[in-house]
Amino acid sequence: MAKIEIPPEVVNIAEDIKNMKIRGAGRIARAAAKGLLIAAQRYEGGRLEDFLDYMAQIAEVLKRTRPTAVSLFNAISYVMSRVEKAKGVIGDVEELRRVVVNSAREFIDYSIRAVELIGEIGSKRVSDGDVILTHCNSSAAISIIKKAYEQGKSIEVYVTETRPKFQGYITVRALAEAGIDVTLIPDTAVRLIMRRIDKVIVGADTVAANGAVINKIGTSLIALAAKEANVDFFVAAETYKFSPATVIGQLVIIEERDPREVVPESYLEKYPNIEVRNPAFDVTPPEYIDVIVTERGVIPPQAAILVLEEEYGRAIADYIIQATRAIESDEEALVA
Amino acid sequence: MVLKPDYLKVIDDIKYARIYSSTKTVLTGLQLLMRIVNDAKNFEELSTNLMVIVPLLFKARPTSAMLLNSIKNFVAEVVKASEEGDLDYVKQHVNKKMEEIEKKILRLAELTAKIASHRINDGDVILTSSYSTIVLKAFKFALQEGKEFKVYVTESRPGSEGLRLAIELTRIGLKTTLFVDSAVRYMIKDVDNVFLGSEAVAANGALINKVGSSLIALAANEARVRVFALAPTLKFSPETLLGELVVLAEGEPSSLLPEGLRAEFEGKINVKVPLFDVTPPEYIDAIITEKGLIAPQAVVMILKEIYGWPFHVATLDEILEGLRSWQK
Repeated sequence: MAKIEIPPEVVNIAEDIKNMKIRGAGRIARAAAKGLLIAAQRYEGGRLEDFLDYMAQIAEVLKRTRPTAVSLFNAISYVMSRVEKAKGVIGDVEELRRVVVNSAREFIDYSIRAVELIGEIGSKRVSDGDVILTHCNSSAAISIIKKAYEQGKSIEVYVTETRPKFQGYITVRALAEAGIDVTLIPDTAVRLIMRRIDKVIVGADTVAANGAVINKIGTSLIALAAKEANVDFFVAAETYKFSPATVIGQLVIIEERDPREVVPESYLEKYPNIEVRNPAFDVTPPEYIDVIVTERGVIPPQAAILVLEEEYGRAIADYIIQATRAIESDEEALVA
Repeated sequence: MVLKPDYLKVIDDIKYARIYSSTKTVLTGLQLLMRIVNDAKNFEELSTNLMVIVPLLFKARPTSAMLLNSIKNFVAEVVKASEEGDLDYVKQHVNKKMEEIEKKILRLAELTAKIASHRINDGDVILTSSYSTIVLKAFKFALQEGKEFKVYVTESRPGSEGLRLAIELTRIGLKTTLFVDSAVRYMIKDVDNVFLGSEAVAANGALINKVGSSLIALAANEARVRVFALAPTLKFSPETLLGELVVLAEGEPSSLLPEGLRAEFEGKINVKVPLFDVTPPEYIDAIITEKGLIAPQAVVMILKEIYGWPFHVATLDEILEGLRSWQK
């Protein structure tokens, strides 16, 4: 593989994703697509093979910024699978460049539209007079709540402050600006408040093949409290948050982040013997989830595999092919 | 009337939970009442001050059964002594009684902690939240017994008392891990036992404790991890047996928001800061008291032992009535 030159704008995007200046599954995905788009536009060579090699290396660089973010992987695979498909029939760099640019734009538009569609679809499940609980800051969940409110439904929303990073502040701000009656509560008050709640609506970071949802730490505790109180639990998730890798058994890795998000640095320095742990996500089992609202429609979590086959059949097939090759080469080694 | 402003400051400290641990809160409240007795120049002043301060003190932390129980004991002693002798006699008698009450509170806490320490085994990971002096003492006893174990502590918002507890735990040499309240279900897989303190225990065995306790108990129940509530019987609420509900106090809305955001959110959003929640008896494996471990459903048996059958529980108002004859 030839050494390539990465355009500075793309380097910046990769850096911003890595150090979380760009965060949230949707924004990461769109930033990665934009990275591919810019890289294609900046490419100056003339040979098709070189361009393909160049794009593959850019895709690798972008993927490595947050190796556990499924949306990032899916955004890149959305664009690159179209490149892969086109390369057999396309003869020159110009045409293939257009494929990258168009499919990256398509993905970005699609991802923005998906949030609106989820709002449209999900809002139908919100009734007049509902009291809703949400956690953290999810644009898809907010989209549902806002849409329901715009439809004239009278709703009240409780928002957890969401330690350690207080994303609840962003959510209360967005909802209050829309004119919605909103109440901030500490994360510990979830079970106490649950008896007043009609529906819980949260976003997702990743949806696994079995319908388990990986989302901001605390989500699974809220789902458990909702189940206990027989309160509906909805997850709002674009299909590009579904993880094809989980189909072949890969586990979603839960990131543990810097303890300085939990306590001030002075506390850590003064009390070095206290271990401070900061898991960023947890896993909500499918049996605690009533439905997942996607831009393709409302599905039970157990039907996640359907979405994965329809949207990422190709990626899954690739995994299977790789796995098959690995077995075959093992067998060959044994025979030899 | 000579209501000293520093009397009211103590009440405020109790009300806004500035004093960690419910045991310390009760002792602080009792010391305030003792000062009122000692400061009094005549019966009228004593009676007037107590009749104002006692209800304020109770309302400052209405959730605390031990506070109510102790206030009632204290006032009853004042009334009793005032029937027997002059003001000097009352002061002398109540000071002696106060010493006994304080000693009793501490002794029951120690006994409870000692019994609880027997439920800690080598290699255990114990999860606790907030800041309970009795739980802390149980850990100290277990350490003295030579047990090796680790403690997980939740931050315990609002108030973040967990940060203070973690400091105390490492100071006595315990391996301590701290994490946000939301991480409880994620971390519970590593946990062997949950130890909770208590603010009050209701007649049905429900535990009233720092908000978030019921969420921890729920997660523990799901993961089949045992939950122990550490509660000397002074924390049992006899009123609940007669149908009274325990009042769940709330904190100030501003306490949840950092100063920089208060102005922005003022009037635009609601903020709710509950300080306590209720853990149903079915999520509690045992309540550990100074008399030993009991099933939560057996709380009523202990209440019967203390208050007889049929129950007789004098209300705070009834007890305060005894002071009224001193008013002009």
